[in-house]
Amino acid sequence: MKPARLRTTRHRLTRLGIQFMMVGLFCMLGGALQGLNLLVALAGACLAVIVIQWRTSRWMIDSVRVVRRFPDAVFAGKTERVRYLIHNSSRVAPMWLLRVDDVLLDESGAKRLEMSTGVGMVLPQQTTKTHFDLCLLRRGRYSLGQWEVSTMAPFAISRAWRFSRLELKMIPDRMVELRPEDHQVDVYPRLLPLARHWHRNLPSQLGSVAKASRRQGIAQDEFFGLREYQRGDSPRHIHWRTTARMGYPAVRQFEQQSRLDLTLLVDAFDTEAETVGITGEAMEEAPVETAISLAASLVVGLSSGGHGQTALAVADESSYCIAGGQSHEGVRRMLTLLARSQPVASPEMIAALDAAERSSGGARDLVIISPRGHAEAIAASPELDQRLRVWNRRGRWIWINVQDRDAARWIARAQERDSDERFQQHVA
Amino acid sequence: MSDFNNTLPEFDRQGASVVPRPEIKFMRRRTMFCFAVLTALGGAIIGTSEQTADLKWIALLFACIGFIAVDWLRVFSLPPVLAYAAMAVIAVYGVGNFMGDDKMKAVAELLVSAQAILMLQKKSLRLFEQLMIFVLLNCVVAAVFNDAFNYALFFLPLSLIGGCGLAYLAADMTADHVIDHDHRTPKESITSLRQRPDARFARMDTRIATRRIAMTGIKLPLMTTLLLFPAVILISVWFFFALPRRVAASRGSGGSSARVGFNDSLQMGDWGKMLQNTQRALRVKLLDPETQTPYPSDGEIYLRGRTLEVYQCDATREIATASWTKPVVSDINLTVPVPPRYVPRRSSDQQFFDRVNVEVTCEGMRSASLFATAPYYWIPGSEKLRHCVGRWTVERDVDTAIMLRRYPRTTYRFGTHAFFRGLQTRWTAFEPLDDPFSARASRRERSPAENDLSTSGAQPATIDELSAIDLDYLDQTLDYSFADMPSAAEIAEEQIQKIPAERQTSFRVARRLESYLVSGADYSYTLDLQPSPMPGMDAIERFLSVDRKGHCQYFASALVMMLRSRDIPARVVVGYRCDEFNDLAQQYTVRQSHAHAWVEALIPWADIPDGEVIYGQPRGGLVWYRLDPTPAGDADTGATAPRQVVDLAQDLWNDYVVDMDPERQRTALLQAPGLAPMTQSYRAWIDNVESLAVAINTGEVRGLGGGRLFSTPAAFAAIAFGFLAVVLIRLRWPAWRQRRRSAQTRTAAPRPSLEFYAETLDLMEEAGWHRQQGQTPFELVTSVAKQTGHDPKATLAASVLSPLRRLTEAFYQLRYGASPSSAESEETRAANDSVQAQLLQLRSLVTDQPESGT
Repeated sequence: MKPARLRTTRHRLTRLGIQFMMVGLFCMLGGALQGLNLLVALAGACLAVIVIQWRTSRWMIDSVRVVRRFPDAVFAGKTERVRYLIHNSSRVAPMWLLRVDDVLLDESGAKRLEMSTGVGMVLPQQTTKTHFDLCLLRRGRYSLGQWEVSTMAPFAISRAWRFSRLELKMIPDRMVELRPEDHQVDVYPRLLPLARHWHRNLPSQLGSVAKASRRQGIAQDEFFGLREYQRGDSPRHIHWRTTARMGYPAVRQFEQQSRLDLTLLVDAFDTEAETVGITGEAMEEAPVETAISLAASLVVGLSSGGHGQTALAVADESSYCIAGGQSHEGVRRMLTLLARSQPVASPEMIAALDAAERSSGGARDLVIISPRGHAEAIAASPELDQRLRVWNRRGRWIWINVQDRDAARWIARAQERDSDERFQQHVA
Repeated sequence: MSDFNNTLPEFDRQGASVVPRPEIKFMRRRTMFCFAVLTALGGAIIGTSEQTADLKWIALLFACIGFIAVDWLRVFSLPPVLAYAAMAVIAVYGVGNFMGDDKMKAVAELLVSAQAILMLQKKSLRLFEQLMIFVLLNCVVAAVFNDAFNYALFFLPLSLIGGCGLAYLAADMTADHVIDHDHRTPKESITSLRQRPDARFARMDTRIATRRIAMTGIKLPLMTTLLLFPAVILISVWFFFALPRRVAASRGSGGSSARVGFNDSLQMGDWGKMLQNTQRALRVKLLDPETQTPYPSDGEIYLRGRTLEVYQCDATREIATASWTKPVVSDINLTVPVPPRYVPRRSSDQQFFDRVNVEVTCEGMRSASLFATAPYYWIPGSEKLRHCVGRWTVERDVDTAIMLRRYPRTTYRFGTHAFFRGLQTRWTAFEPLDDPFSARASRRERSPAENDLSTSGAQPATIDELSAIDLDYLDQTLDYSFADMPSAAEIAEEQIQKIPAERQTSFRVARRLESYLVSGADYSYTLDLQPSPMPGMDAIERFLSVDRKGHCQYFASALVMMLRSRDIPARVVVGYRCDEFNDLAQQYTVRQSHAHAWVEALIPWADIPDGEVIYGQPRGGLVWYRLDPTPAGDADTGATAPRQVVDLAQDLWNDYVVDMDPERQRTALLQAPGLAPMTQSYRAWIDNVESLAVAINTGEVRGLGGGRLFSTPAAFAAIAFGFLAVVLIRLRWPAWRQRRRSAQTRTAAPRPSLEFYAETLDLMEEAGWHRQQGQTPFELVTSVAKQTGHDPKATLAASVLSPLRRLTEAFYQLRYGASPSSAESEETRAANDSVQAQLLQLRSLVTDQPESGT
């Protein structure tokens, strides 16, 4: 079955247009019935304006093509530019006064952000950019709705619009609408300005000379076996003695080092999460958000500094752990995990620790970022103490309570951050 | 933790202190101006009617106050509550008025008052919509009770400004919607203040888009007008002429008061004002019935309105009041349908008169009188006319006269034999009152085909043969009192003495007396009558012996009395004497100032001298002879070219808009003066096509080759055509393609991979500096630095230069210098911070600049 062509344009009279139409009809009837020709002339003018409006706006909206460019990475609190490329495919007619409306929905669908921008004129066969600057205040998973480009030109008596085509999927007897992953946007947690020398507070001296030497060469990897040379293998790995004996090149194969250098564990604990429900600014104020933001800042900080492998575990309703590294993709996955985490009153800390241990292959260094104190967490879950002692045998761990004074070692003081604002005020 | 949330410097920095952008202000002020003008024009269109003439000043006043004090200077504005209260008061007042007689006036007053209140309020988009609808209603009301040409004069600019206003409104609405989503702009926008529910989890900045819309919005109405107004006009014209009509065109209920026309009694001296009024009364078109082309007439034409026979003067007053009326005898007020055409027995007589069809469009009149050139006869279009027996005047059919008080504008036709070689005859056959030929004819059932064939009966040969009724009538045309006006008889006697006794026929006497008065030796023409009290003196006597000046009424009255003193029957004829020929419209334009009174004297056939041509009407007996004793005045009768154009426009408006009816709708395009040749050729073309189709069907078409399959001319034509097509395709097409391709490459400019520099370029583009293809970043900096002092962008260039330079240096550093992924150091961090700060500075400079450089 061939799918029916989906109509993506609409055209409606505005309030003024309806009034125009009414006056026009009244004039037409009155003029025709009473023989008052001036009324007929007036009716003609009214209806001509409506017809011209209809044809012009239809023409414009049929020729318009829009491409939305949402930024790749969006951090809460950071201004990003959402761009729209508007193309006029008509060969002769310019387009006037186009308005682009877009919608951003949060994960629950309860919050709806209507966004709007516009462009004055697009000449025939030309493409014009328009944008707006968007600053989302809350991390989370958002979905982009349908954009809609509309125009009221030239006479404001009707509005013609075109909306983005929905993805369609055919199932045997009907067509259903798909909402692809492309329309989902993760807004990463707000990045906090880290304090100077924050990396010195990390449990192990990452990036130090000792570490660097340890990673040099192939000595650190465990020998696994020999195999036939394949194209692309490094000549350094050729086992010359075996090659000489066998008559064809053989290379040494190593077991990849699976241990990570550092694990970040976020304690997504929030007492108010279940009782009140997090809404609006209450969420911004919540300490757990600071913890998540700090974790995100550390992930970004560690990724850019050449600090080696990092794993991230988040303890919320269910525990996740993602082992990443310096790769862009790894950082993105970690930030996505943080963006989507849902604070709960009793986070699964033990499970998170298990997951972190599994995926990191027994990392030695652990940083726990929590909105509560160590003692408080242990009081809530006594097993945690046990687990941390086990951990202590293998490596070091530290507990960062973001509500504590200790947090100042990680997060830059208010004065430092405000210096940037002061500079901007100076500019203004 | 609250200080963690203040990481939105761009938004919090300016907060509520953001002022609306100048472009928005500018655009909005233009919208306001447009709507103020629109309101004033709406008032003016209502004021085109005389009843509501004062309303236009009210509308104009409030439009001015509203724009200057409320919109522009913002001195005050009417709070909504007060406005509602005022509306309620006006509504009550309006309903009160509506109960009265003049309902349309009450509606007009209501509309204009409501507009005045709207103009005093602070403008919002909703208010603009209301103003627009009120203007439309103004037009509706004005259209219902007005058909003046002034309506057209105001309607055209009104629709132009209205289109502009709507275009501004569209821009305003679009910009306002975008501003509405700007979280940083305080609600300077004209929509109502709205708490934004989504401001808690996001902030948006849409200033740049708003500015772009506003900048287009400033220019848009001009483009809209240029591009779309002709289309609007075309569609409305098409609609107007295509809308099927089932009823005859009617006039508005109000109507301009009819000032034109004559009553059956004529007060002497009444005409002073009318003769200075240049308002149009009639349009007279003379057509050749055979060819339907304009009949070439020379000089002036006399259009008869009424004949008046009875003179009455009340000399007891200080200033005598005199009047002319028609006789009270009922038989002589008989009206019958217009007589049929007179066909002479001798066909050779037809060489001595011309058949002319006359089409007269008469404005609203106060009397039933219409105007014609005698002798006239029935043609299609004369149905509305009644012929006044014995007087050769026409009046409206009682059925077509709507009211007793007011007679609307009308168009009628009649045929006439009054012209010969372009000159109007002075002779009108005497028509017996008792058994008029026209009455005889009208009693029979007539068919149009019969009209031209019916001929009149025999004319009475002498006065002795007249019936009693005719004699009674002639008695009244001889009524003269020597005691009241002895001068008339004395002057007549004195003049007649100058004619040899044997030649003193009534004709010569009449001509002598006429020429005496016309010569102006003793009497002068004036419209400025300032009589001093002179009790007991007759008005004519006073004119002849004391004042010796006056206008046509006095001259005509004096001549009538002189003739009567010599026993020559005479009567006053009132009507129009017109010599204003509109070359553009090929018709006579008759104005009120052309109103005229002249004299008819009854001449026995025997007295008619040889050489006078009297054809086209029954011969024998008695004939009325036209005498015009009024000397030439200084009245300006010439029509200037602009005036002719205005007249023509007015005619077109009246004919093709106001009076469009089913019949005219069918014939409209065929009769339009400019379109006639075009439609003729169009019809000819249609005829040709039709005959060709018939010929093809019957197999008569042979084509170029005379029916053979191959034809040399056709082959040459095909080759030439093909060559031309190839030339066009091969030569023109690549040129178009090339242009388009270059346009496409121009739009797709390379974008730097470093995000901060890409944004820098975007910002510079917004500020008006485009990076050309192949221009290095450093060259861009140099070009900005070259902006000199007298350049309008120099100030911006100076301020932008420093951040731009540092950003460009950073770009070079990162792009071609050290790797950005090198080990983190304080220096790299500082450099990054610096780049962000510079970018921020540039952004604020570009987005906050008052006038864009683009």
